[in-house]
Amino acid sequence: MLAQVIVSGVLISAIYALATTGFTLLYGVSGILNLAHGTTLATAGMVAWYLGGHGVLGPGGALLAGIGAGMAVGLATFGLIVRPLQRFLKLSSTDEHVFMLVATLLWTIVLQEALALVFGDVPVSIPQLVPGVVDIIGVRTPVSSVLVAAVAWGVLALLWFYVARTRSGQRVLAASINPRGLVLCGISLGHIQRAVWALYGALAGLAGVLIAMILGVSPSGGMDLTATAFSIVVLGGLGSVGGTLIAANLIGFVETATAYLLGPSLRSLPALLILVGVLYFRPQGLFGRR
Amino acid sequence: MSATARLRWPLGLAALALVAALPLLGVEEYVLGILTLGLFFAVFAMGWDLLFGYAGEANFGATFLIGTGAYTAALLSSNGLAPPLVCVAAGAIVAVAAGALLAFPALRLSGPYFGLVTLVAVLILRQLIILFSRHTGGEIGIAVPDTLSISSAVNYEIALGAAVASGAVLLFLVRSPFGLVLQAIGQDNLKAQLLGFNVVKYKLAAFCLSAFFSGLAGALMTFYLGTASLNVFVDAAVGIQIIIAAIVGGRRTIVGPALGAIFLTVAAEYLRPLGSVSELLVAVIALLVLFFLPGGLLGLGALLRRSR
Repeated sequence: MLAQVIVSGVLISAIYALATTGFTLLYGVSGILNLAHGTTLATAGMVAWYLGGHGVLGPGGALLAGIGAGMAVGLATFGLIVRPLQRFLKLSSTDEHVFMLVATLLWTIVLQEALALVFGDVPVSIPQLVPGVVDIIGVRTPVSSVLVAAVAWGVLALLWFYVARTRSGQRVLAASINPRGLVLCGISLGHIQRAVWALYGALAGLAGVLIAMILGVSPSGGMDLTATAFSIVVLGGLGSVGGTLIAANLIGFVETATAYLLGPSLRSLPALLILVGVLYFRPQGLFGRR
Repeated sequence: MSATARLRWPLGLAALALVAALPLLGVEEYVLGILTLGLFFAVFAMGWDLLFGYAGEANFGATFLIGTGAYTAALLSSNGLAPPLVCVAAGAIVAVAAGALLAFPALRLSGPYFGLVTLVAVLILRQLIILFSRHTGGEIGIAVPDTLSISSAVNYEIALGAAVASGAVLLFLVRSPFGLVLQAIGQDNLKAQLLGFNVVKYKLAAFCLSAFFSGLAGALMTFYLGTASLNVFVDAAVGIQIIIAAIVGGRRTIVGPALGAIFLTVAAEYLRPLGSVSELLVAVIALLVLFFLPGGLLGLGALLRRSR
């Protein structure tokens, strides 16, 4: 039992971590909470499922298609919703915040219904990449799941390398710390933002395909994914990537343990209660800055 | 004072009388039924507007308040504990208590954090209802044995009465000094604090008022529908519909969200044959309104007047 919880917990946490990093990165750099996040994940998963399942593309091609779909949705969100709202409506910063939440929420519905129209509103899951099971501390685990966890952590490591060690990654980091300073150094903030949205889309695309492999996705399930991502990110502290990783593991393990010990229908309840409790005592999240 | 402003009151009252007389004018029961739902929805949207338009807090958990009212009324009634009117009153009061309970942690937060906590409240309530499904009927819901009336005309008038009374009270409140302070808080929290207003107290009051009307309408709607079920009363998606209604109608007007709610309910009913395209269409329209008419449909009127 304990071994089962640990193995599933590690797997789910890895996916949660990957699926929420883009969300928190986006908030850190552009100050935007993208409530269409879960639907972006779902879009990538559905596209990969459709193209892979209908024999159009092999598994690798489907994965790439999913990443492409995620990037396309990310850039569309930026170009159609976020940019126009910032440019054309002269709003005060509080108003802009609220309008952004409402606009991305409406965008979610547009995406969700479009997905349901194209693919049908049914839950789908992508078949396992590789057959076979391995024995990990006495738990029979599909090789495919191990692969998914490895990919998730590998990509997170790459992301860390990008932000900490490359020139363009340092600019992204600078944009999240002090955008004005960046502009004064002669670097275009617009370019950085577009790059971050593309990066966000690619991360969400990959995460969406992985989620479709392990948990399955559906057009209307996007909202639940957003709620989970939102909880994780806020618990960790908005904009703090390290906090997000820790919170993803915390929520992943608590959910898994609940599902095994109390029953799957209560899966999300303790995590939600923890979230409210933490916010009550630490409104900025576990690792957030005020 | 322009001619239109002077005519606003008589015209409004005449329109109201006309709306109240609809059942007498031989309007079909089917249409009355849709309008009844639209009117309950209008109360939800007006309550939401008090928090969002005036206090500046985006409450993603309107259905937490509505659901508490609806389920309280349904539980009391299905266990035969009280007559319908008492159930409705109890629903409104428990919703206020729930609103206060939610407000205490939520008001320590602001912006996205506040939004998240209100959203999470809905999810928690949903889980609790499923957890105690022996009493609450779980995902199926509770059947309510009593009704306020079986006549669709009377039900329509009850909904209209609730909407008009809520609208009148809310309009009075937002124009009172209380409403002005609330608006000041919504626009600049810090300056309002510097002027010596107790921000938390005002926001808490706004929260309780919003909860009262949401709970009242939720309880009334339970008796109208004959059931309290999760997907109608405790669903984040319904909360989003309320937000769309308020934005489309024109926030910070009280009247606008009500009109938006009725408009969307009727539009959804007549677009139903289109299936999921209808929701897509409604969301696109709401987005366009958000971008091009930030003042909503009521803002359109003001825009036309200014251009003349």
